[in-house]
Amino acid sequence: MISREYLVPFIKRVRFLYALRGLWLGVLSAGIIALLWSLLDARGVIYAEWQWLVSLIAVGATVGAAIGGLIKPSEQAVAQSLDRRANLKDRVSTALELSEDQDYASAVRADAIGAINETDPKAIFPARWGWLQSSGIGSASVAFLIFALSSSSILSLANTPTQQEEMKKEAARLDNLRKAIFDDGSKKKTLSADLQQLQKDLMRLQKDYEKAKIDPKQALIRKEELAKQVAELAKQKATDALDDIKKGESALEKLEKAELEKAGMKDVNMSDVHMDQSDFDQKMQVSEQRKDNAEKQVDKMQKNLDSLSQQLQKPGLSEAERKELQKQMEEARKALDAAKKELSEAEKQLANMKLSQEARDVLAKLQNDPLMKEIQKELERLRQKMKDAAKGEEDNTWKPKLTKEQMAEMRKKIEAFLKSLKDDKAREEYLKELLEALKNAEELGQCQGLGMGLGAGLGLGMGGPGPGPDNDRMLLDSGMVNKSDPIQGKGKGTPTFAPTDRDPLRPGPEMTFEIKAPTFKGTRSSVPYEKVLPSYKKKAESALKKQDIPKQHQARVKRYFDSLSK
Amino acid sequence: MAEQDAIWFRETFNRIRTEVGKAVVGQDDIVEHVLIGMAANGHVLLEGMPGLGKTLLVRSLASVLSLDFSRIQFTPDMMPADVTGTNILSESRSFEFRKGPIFANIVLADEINRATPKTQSALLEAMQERSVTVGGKRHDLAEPFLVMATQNPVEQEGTYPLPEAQLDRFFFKLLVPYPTKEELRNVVLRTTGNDSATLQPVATSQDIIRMRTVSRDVPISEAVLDFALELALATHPDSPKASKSIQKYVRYGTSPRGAQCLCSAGKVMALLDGRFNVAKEDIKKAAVAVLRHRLILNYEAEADGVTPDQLVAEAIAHLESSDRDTIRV
Repeated sequence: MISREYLVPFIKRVRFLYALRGLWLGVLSAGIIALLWSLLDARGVIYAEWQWLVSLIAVGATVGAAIGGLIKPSEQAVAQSLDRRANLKDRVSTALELSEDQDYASAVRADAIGAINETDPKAIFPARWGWLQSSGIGSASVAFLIFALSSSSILSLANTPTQQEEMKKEAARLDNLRKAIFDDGSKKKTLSADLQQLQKDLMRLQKDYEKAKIDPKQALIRKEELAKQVAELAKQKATDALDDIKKGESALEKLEKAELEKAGMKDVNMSDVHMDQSDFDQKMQVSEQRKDNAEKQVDKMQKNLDSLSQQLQKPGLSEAERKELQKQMEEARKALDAAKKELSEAEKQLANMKLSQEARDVLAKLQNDPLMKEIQKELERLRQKMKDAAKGEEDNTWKPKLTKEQMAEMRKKIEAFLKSLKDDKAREEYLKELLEALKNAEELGQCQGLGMGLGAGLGLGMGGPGPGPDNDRMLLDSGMVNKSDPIQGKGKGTPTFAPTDRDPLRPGPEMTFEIKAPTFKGTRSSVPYEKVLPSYKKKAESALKKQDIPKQHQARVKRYFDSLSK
Repeated sequence: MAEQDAIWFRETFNRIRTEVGKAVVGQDDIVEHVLIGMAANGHVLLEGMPGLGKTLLVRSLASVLSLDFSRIQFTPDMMPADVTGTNILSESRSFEFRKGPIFANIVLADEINRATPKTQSALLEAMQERSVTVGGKRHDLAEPFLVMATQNPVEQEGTYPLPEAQLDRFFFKLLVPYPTKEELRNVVLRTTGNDSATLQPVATSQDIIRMRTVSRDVPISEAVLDFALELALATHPDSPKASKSIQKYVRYGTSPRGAQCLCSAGKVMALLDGRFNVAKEDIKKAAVAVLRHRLILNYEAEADGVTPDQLVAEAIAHLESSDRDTIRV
C-alpha cells in the first residue's frame, strides 16, 4: 500500500479547495439573502445598512469556508481523482489498495510514487473560476447595486439635495430621540410589547427619513399617526398604573383588616384608621366635646323636667295653670329624649373613635415603618400624576415632578422593602403591584417623552427628555415649504436660546426655534391667511398681556406675526 | 521480481510481434490482439474476407512460437470425429485412440462456419476444458492450446452461424480489415517474388505459459474492476446502466465470461503499456473485441444497420458520462 504521506499534499489541497468552494457557496447564499434584503429595503419593508450587508456576506463566506474546510476527503477519492486528472491510469488508486504481500505491490507502489512526484497538487487541483464564483460575486454585486440605488438620490422621494439633507438631519434627530427614550444607558429593562412596537415604528420612520425613501408629506402624516399612538398608549399606561395602585391598596387593606381581626377588632372605620394623626386627634376632641355637650344637655333637660314636676305638685293651681305646666313638661320630656339620643350617638361616636384609636395603635407597627410611609407618600403623588395623565391633562401645579431618577430611587426602595419581607404575602402582593405601577409609570414617561419629541405636546415629560427642535423648522429649512408662496410662508427658522420658566430639576439652556411659516406644504387653506391674520394677531397680543410670559418670548411672538404681515 | 517479469513479458511479446510482422504485412492491430488473446489464454475468432492473411497470420504465429500447429478446413460434411479424433481397431485387435487435428498447440479452424453445428460443437469442450472426450475417455490437450478460427462474413449460403455458446468461448472476435494501399503493395511485392520471409522461433511453449502466469498476476483496482463489471452489465438491455440504444437493439448482453475476458485482456494490455496495474483505458481498449460477439442483437438492430461495435462504443460513452470525478472542486 502506498504511504499516506504521498497523498497528504493533495488531500490538503483538496481541503483548501473545499474550503474555498464553501466560501463561495457561503458568498452565493449570503448574496442571495442580501439581494432579497436589499429589495425589501428598497421597498421599505425591512431596513438595511451597507455594513449589515457586508457583514452578512462576510459571515456567509466565513461559515461556508469553515464548513467546507471541515469536510475531509477520503484517500481513495483523492487517489481516484488524481489518477483521473493527471491521467495516471489508475496507478495511485491501485497502489493504495494493494497490500504489501501481493504480487506487483512494490512495482505498482514505485510506479505510483514516481507518478505522484511528477505532479503538482496546485496544477492537478487548480482553483477555478466557475459559475459558483461568478454567481456569488454577481448576487452580492446586484444586492449592493440595488441597495446603492435605493439609498442614492436617484430613487429618493425628496425633490432636492437640500430636502434630502434635511431629511437626514431629521432622521438623526429621531434617532437621538429614540436613544434618549429607550436606551437609558443603564441596565437593560424589558419593554412591554406595545412599547417595543412603538420603538420599531419609530426606527422605521427614522430609517425612512434617513434614506429619504418617503414622501415628505407622507412622513409628516406618519409622524402624526405615531404621535397619536403614543398619546393613546400614554393614557393606557396611566390607567394601568392607577389600576395597579388600586390593586396594591386593596391588598394593603386586606392586610390591615387581617391584623385587626387578629386583635379582635371588627367593624373599625378604616377611614378613621388611615386618617392623619392631627385630623384624628381633632376628630376625637370633637367627639369628646359632643359627648360632654350631650351630657350637659341631658342634665339640663332633666333638671328642667324635675322643676316642672315639682311645680305641678304644688297645691292651688288652677286648671289652666295645671294644663300649661303639663304641656311644658311634655315638651321638656321630648327635649330630654332628644338630648339622650344625641348623647347616645356621641357616646357611640366616641367609642368608635376609641376603637379606631386602638386600631391605629395595632396598625402603628405596620404604618410607622418609615420606608413604608415614604412609599405611601410617593404613591399618593404617583396616583395623582397618573390620574392627570389618564385624563390627558397637564399638571403644572404638581411639584416636584417624579423624575426618572426619582422613580428609580423609589423602585429601589420598594425592591429593598420587598426583599426584607418574610412570609408577609399580603404586603408582598402590595409591593409587587406597586412595582408594576411604577413600570407603567416609567413607560408612560417614555411615551410622553417620545410624544414631545415627535412634537405632539402630550404633556409633562415625566422621566423623558425635553422637547426637541421644532419639526416645522426642519421642514421649512428643507424647502418642503415653499417660501415664496404667500400661503406657505416666507422666512427661515432661526435657532435661539432663551431663558425659560423651566423645571428646576432640568436646568440649562433650552433650544427653541422661531416658526415663520405654516407647517404643511400642499394643503391649502380655503381662506387666505392674510384675512385671518389680524384677528389671530389680536388674540395673541391679548394673551400676551393677560398671561405671565417672559419678555423674550413675547418679543418672539410679536416678531412672528410681524414677519407674517410683511 | 515482478517488475523483471513484466519487462520480460513485454520484451517477449514484442519479439513475437516483430517476428510475425516479417510475414504478415500490416494488420498490426490484429496481430497484437491475437497475441494478447494468446497471452491471456484465450481463443480468437478472426472474421474477414478471403485472402486477408488470416491463415498466414496463424501459421506464422505457430512458426515463431515453435508450437505444434494444425489446420482444420471446416466443410459441411465434416464430422466431429474428424476434429477430435476417433478410436480405431489396431493390429493388436484393440481399440486405439487416434488423435484428431485438435491435438496441437495452435489450431487453425478455417472457415469454421462452414461446418455443421454438430461439428462446431465438437470444439466446445476442447476450447473450454482443454480436453476432449472420445468413447467415454477424456483426453487432455497440450498446453498451450489456442484455437484460431476464421470465418467469411460474406458467403452466407451453405454456412452455419456459430451458436452463441460457441461464440462465447472465443476471447476476441477480430474483424480483419482490408489492407491499405501501402500494405497491399507490400503484400503483392512480397508474394509475387522469389524472396520469402523465413521466420525464426523466438519463444517456446513454456514462454507462452509463463506469459499467461505473469499477466494473471497484474493487480486491478476496485474502481477499474467496477468499471469492467458495469460495462458488462451495461450491455444488458434490462440493466439500469444500459443506454437507450442498448435497450432498443440488444436482445441479450454479454455473459459473465465477457467480464472475465475484459479483465484478462486489460491485464495484458497494462503490461504492454509498461504498467503494473490495469487502467480503465485498458478495459476500454479491449471492450470492442471482447464484447462484439457476445451481444445478441434483435431484428430492429439488423433492420437499422446497427452493429455491435457501435453499441459497445456507446455503452462505454454512456458509462463515462455517468462516471464523475470523485473530487468535485
